[in-house]
Amino acid sequence: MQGFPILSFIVFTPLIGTLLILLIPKTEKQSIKTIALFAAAITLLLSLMLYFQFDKSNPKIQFIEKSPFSVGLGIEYHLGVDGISLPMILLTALLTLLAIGASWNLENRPKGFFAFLLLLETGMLGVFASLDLVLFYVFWEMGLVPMYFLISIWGYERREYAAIKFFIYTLTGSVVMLLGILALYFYSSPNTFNIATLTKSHFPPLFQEIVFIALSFGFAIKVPLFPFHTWLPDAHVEAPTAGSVLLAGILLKMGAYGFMRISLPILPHAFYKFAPLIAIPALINIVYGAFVAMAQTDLKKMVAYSSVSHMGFVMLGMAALTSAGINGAVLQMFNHGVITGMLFLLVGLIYERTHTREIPKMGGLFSKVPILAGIISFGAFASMGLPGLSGFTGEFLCMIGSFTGELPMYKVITSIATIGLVITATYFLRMLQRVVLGVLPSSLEKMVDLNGREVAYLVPLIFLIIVIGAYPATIINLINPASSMWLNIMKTRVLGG
Amino acid sequence: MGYLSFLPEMVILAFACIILILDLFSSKKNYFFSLALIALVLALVTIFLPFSSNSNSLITQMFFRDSMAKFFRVTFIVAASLIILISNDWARKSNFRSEYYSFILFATLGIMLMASAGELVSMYISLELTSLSFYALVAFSKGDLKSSEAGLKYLILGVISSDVLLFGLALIYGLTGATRFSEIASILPRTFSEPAFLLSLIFLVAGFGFKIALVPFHMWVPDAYEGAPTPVAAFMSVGSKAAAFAITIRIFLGALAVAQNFWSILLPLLAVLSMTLGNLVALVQTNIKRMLAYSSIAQAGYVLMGIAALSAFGISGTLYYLLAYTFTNICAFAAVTVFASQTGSEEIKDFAGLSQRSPTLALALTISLLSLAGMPLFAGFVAKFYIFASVALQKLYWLVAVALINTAISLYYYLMVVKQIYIVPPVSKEPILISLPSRVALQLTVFGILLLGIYPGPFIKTIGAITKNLFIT
Repeated sequence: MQGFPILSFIVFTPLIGTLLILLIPKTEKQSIKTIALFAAAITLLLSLMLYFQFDKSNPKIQFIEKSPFSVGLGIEYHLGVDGISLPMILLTALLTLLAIGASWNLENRPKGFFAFLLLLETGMLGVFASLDLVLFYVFWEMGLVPMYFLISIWGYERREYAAIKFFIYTLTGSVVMLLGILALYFYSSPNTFNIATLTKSHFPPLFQEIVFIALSFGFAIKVPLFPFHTWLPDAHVEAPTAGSVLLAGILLKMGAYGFMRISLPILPHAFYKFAPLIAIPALINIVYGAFVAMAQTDLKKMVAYSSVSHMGFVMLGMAALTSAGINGAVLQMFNHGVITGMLFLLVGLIYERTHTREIPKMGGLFSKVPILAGIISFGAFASMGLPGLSGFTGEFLCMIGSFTGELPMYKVITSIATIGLVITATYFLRMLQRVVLGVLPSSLEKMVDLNGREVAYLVPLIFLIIVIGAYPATIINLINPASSMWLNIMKTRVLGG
Repeated sequence: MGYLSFLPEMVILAFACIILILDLFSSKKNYFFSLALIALVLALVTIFLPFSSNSNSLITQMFFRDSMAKFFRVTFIVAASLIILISNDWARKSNFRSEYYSFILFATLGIMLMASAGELVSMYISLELTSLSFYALVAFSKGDLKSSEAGLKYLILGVISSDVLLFGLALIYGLTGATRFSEIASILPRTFSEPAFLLSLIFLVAGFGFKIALVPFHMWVPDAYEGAPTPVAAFMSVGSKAAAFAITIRIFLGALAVAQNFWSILLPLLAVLSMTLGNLVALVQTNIKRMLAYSSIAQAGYVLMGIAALSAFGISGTLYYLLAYTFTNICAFAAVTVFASQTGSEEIKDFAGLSQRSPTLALALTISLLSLAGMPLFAGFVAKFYIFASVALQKLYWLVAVALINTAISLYYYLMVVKQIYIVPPVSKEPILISLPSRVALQLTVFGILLLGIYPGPFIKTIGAITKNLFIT
């Protein structure tokens, strides 16, 4: 497929959808939704084409696209994918499509909603596809405004507070990140924002450390790594279902992806030095996040805190600097996107029917709505890491990876992290016991089960959870060549060779 | 024939006078708007005519005819045309339409000459032409007490600042005996030991600081912007500010470049003060024009950073920023003009639900505010990036850090307006209609914002070529 700029098409198809939606009068609700669905579906199809054409054994960046026009200031239009970014692109395309499916019955200003949703998709896809730091930053920021609007217009009761908190947190992080990007540009010779070129340059250790801290500020807030996680529960809980799905499913991954794409290859020395300092907050994420999740009575808040806990595994796997750990981290990013995306969809479905998210006000769903209850149980088991389902594979790899980490402290950290697993099982089982089992309260007598459309958008996720759980190599074969290559390059550069 | 290169200025001058004279003889007043527009379009065309400016006549020695002058003259004519487009709604209600348009043309003439001034006297005269036109324009809403108050305040403070500046210029002349910037630059090093030289620097910084509206010389800005007719406030915020920046570049990096060690420390300081104070005070404003006034003080701080970088790259950033700012700020003010002329309110809370009353206006205002905040895809991002990059190149990382924190702060108050527009439900459902001239102005400015934000390449190239010749370091 030489010459066909498939990546640009993937990134900008949603944007074209946004523009088309803006041209339609807002009363034409049906055509707005149809356009949104088509744009997202075409994006997914293109991403699948990309997946099938992708050379899985090649660790290098593929499908490189460079614009012959100069943007000026050393900025280039430069896209490409490798085994680390491809799963993220697939995940983004899939979850956005499902989020649109889940928002099908939205009545409140659908024009703006779907326009923002597609704009957000372009931003997210752009982050994963760009190989130029400024382009990366532009796409990174591009997701911010639509997400702000999605939360603050279509969210729940405290939406404005949550939206502004999300905005200020991420923006502060990203302006500091920009400072780091500028420093990289001016310290490199010749001056460049090109990520691939920057990975070949050797920066002095002190400089690497300073830039690493600046970049990490932006990435860690997005992940979010303890203690920068406080925006997350508010934003997740107040966001509309589609917003929560994309926040948890994709936006959090952008932070971890930034660490892998930028910090690890460009700043190997600093990454190596600071890795233990990432592992400790990651551990706090795992254990503390799980404990706080257990204390929640709000179903959505519980899932939100479980995200904090699960993202801790991603960071722990990455910080261990072992092949298994990094593979596990990317795999866990993918799996967490699928599983938590599904859980947020389910919470949305429950809320639509019960108009409450309070766990104590629910009960006995299994007797009334068996399909919904069954899928909830399935999602909960996947999320707590039941072997055979995908949640297990990612977490297990992260744990193996971190346990075999070089420093002895990793063994201790990994051992403590297992507490997190136990607690995760505890709160999910308690949730199942109180929501799915038990006695149906009289207020829920009229509850109806899932309809065809709702089942339809949950099925792909269920399918993925089972397939990756049974045969994780589907994704790992994609990740492994690239992640091993970067890890080896890094180790030879730091430890000499 | 060096005079012919002044054809654009002559056209504007002629039309300004013609409008005034025609007013005496005609009872109809509605064609002055078109006449003013024609003047600017003609001027724009004549700028691009290939007249030689190499002759050694007196006037070509007084004014630069270089590419930077051309850049500013084109920018100012475009800005003035946009201002005239958005003035129509407001001026139609006024009984002094001809005076209004001719003053706008005089002010345009003034800023165009300012940006090309090559020596002290012509610079001062063009600066006064600009200031006097704006004194009158600010007080133009005759029945409105606020406008009169603003005009008087601006007049008194403006005259004092002009005097301060004049005193500084006189000292420079006294020390060097020269008025042309190039001569001053060659004689100046002999006078570094004189205390009067330091005094003159202080006066110059204060004088220009007032014209640019830097903290601590900014006191007049919020009142003047609030009281002035909105299109006038828009013109002041882009036109006279950019012209004052042009002069600052010419004097400090041309005439006074040799004395860099004496003044270069002041610029980052003033930049930090301006953006920090401007942004913090803007946070608590309830009137949108006052908010935009404080935001313009902060923006001036960012622009000054480009000069503080003391490099050709930095000056390029400054020029790009001024260009981006011209479109962005006129867009914001245009939206406010349309809104205020229909609802009679300039309070931020009255913008509630604007998206349902006029989606076009809401979108334009949102784009301009996000561009002012420096969000990607809009002109403001590239401009900020350009300036911050130039400052980072000089290893002034602390200054970049302060500016970045300021950017984050500023986003909050811009976002609060966006929140009113899109999220808060409207008080009245009455739709807001946009007249044709305003609609054209909004479309042009939004197009400019997007063009400069998405495809900056050609502009950066042009500006780079301008500043390359400007600098010898």
